[in-house]
Amino acid sequence: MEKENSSVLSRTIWIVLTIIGIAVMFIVNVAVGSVSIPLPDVVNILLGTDVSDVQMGEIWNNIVFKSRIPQATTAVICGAGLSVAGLEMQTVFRNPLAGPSVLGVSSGASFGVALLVLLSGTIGGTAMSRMGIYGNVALTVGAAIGALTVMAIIAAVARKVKGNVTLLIIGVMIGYIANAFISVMKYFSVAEDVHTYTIWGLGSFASVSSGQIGLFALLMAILIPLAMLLVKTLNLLLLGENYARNLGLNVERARVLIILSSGLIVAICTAFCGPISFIGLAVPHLCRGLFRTSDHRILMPASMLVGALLALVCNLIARMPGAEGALPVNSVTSLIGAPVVIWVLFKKR
Amino acid sequence: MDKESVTIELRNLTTGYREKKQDIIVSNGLNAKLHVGEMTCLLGPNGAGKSTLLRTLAAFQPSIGGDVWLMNRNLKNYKNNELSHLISVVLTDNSRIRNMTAYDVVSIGRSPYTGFWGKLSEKDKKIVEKCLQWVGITALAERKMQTLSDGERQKVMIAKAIAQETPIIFLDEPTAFLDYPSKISMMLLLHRLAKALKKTIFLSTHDLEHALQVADQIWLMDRDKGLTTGLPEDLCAEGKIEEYFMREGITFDRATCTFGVQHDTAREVIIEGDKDSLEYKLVCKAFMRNAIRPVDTCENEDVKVTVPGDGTYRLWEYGKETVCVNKIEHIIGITASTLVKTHIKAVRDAANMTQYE
Repeated sequence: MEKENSSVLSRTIWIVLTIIGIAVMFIVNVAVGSVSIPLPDVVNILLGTDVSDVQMGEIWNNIVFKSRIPQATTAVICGAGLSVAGLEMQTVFRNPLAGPSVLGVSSGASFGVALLVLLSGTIGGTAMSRMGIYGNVALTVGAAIGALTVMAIIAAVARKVKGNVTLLIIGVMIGYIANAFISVMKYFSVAEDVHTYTIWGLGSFASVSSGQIGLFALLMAILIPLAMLLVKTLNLLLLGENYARNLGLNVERARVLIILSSGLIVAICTAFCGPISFIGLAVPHLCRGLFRTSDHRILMPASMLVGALLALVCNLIARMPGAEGALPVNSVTSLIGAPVVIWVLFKKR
Repeated sequence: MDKESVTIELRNLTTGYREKKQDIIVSNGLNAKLHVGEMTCLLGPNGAGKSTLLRTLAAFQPSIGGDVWLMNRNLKNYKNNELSHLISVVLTDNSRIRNMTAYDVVSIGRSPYTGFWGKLSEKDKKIVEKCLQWVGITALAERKMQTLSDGERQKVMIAKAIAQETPIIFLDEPTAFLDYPSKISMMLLLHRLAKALKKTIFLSTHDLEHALQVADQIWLMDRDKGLTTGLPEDLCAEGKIEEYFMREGITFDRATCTFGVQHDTAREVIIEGDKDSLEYKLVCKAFMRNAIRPVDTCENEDVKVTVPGDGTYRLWEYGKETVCVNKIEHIIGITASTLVKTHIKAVRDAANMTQYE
């Protein structure tokens, strides 16, 4: 009993630390960027009081509210969502290497974007890259359609196929097919469009405008709590499908629900931010190590919080404070995520 | 056996797999009953259909024909969550359950009774602790599954099954991968649970001898011979065990329900002494293993062994003085020099082996 209490205490400490971390990192994300704004002024802008430099006031205001806050918010939402989706995938497939992208959903998004970007230049005659803000919305819509189509196919297949491994392989195969089409389209496309597509493929928390962020936040505010409703189901599946069935779980229905839940989250995150790799794979492992449990009642909220924090950290590093320009988020997530996972695995031994 | 005690009844059951073109039948015409408070062991060679039968009874797969009656109601008419209150299972390959403590696993056994979030009530926690205690793994409660031995993991799964509070427990080869003493203690544990908690326990196993000694009922299964059920002693008396399991080189003692090895014997030797004493029996066994049959008298009395029962063994050979030794190894060693040639030849002839030259 004593041991149980001590582990509850250490879990609480970790949760509190993570929440504090998110708050601090959010403020740092808002305060730091390629345009330097003095910290007291950042606070002034956030509080709506007058800033020290009246001339720059309007510009700074715009930067904070139209760029930095949406970007940090996007990172929080996307990190939380992808981590929850990754946790669901790892449990349902009983595979530690499963991540949110394992079922080909993000490949589907890429396919949708490729179709839009690459064909519009070749067939329509207008390069997507010249379309500005409309192009951005079009990208989101294209990615969403591609991702949701693949997810619908997978969910339909999941009802027919019995074995989990079979389903996993089918997901990976769909990803290959999508990537093959993308390669073909790239080959026949204008260099400018290929560049646009490549940039999208690197992922970015900055691509969600202050107008779109409301919709993104709303969708995820529905989907993440819905995923939370699956904690008991996921806990049962930890013992494997046969034990779960014997304990009264409708395994087929549970599998479809979990795939729908995580698939929708990944589809929407990818549509708004492009493919963000690694967070969904790494965060659940990180949480199992930190919280020393496999109970989804703890892991689910923990993954959500740690995912948000990690995304904020990656976003900050990607913007390379003090330097011009930015690194692709996708590379940063992997560069930060991989060593962290290795460290946790070693520490656990 | 009165009717009240029957928990599961197989009525002309056919098990197998449904395929698109044609059903694959594994076994058919199965008729048998399981009773409350009894441990029943399902025995049979690999491929006899034991696992398929277990899976069918646990409603993991549909039957091809016939019916299973569970608590006087057809198994087909039960819903999944109703069954979770009646049947619990312990399956093979529990090594894939990782990163969970034994306590976590056992508490998942309570999930048919917990609410939407699966939170354990005080009562649930008490039951989980009681189950850990019954199975004797309280000390392992906080250990992760992957750090436990096969036997310990098996016990955790049994504790999970008890925590599920079902009148019936199915176990698929619970003694596989266990060492010899663990096999026996596992059987005894299950038998004790059947009696103490009034459970119907049904398990498949390859540990024939242990099953015959511990089980209340035996089901013998074979692809050709079908299903035969009964008390272990009745099956022994009727010669059913031999019918299902006898092969060349195996002997079966019906009185003790134990198996032995049948040796090819090439010659005989006289052994004298108290036939009921342990030493006498062991000396006989040692000679048998060396292809020498112990007898009371024989034609060419050139070797004679005496077992006086004082911890020594005496060996007399024709034309030599009597030797007195205190280890069986030594008599065998001396006799072997005289008899070894005939022995090797006998083994070779029996197994039809020619030496590579």
